[in-house]
Amino acid sequence: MSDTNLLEKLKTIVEPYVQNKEAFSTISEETDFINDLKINSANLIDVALDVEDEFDIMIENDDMDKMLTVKSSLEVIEQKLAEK
Amino acid sequence: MIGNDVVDFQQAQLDGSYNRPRFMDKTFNLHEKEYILANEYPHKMACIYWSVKEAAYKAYVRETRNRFLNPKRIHLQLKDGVKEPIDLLVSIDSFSYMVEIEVNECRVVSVAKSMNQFSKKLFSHTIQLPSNQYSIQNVYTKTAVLDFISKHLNKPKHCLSIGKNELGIPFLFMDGSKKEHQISLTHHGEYAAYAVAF
Repeated sequence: MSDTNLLEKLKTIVEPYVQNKEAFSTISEETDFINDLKINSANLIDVALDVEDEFDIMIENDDMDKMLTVKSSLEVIEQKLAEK
Repeated sequence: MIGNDVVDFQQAQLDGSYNRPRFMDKTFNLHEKEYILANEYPHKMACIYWSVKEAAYKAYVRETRNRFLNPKRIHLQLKDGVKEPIDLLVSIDSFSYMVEIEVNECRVVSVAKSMNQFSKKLFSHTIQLPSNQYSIQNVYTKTAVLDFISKHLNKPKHCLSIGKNELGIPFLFMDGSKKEHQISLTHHGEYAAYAVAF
């Protein structure tokens, strides 16, 4: 799957939890879920669960540990997809 | 170092996170889950434990500058026979925090402080918000904490402002210079809370 496709899928997953809609419109790899999008941290766990469902992968807590930005989340997803 | 967190029980029910079994698996260690499930009100207990973890996490980030998304790294020291604790000892890696919990039927507010060498005076206040819109809640909470600090330090409000560092931690500025006072802000659903250490 291309990076753009992954990003688009991640955007769809993240959108319902975003509190700062303006920052969402300019989302990039550098975007921070909490500091930029103002997603509350409980919802970040929901994001990890939704990612598992969407990509049919298992995210262990040690992988989830770094899923605070778009970039690190994409890295985790790519790694897990490669392991499938 | 300090950190705080509020959870609005009704909002948490609407959000639905705690009703997802896998959410519970990713968030709570085995013994924490046992305590939650043994409680008469498991949803409320899950909210309380979450807020305790989040408050301790904020103090930890302030202390170590290290962020992570892994609530199971945050360990609650639970005591047998205590149904609704008023404070809890929490450990994250080698760091320990004492977290005070204030609960009523609508929300829980948790305030964490470092166990080592914490000598500052700590204040915590909870407010009911006029709107559920994020931007309004944010301004309202900041205004409330600045009102409090202004009165406490006897300093005009226009001299005070709040900024955030790259980790998202709020700081007090007085007459344009950054102060050592610690501020922690939180809001969820209808409630906001602030903690200030002078």
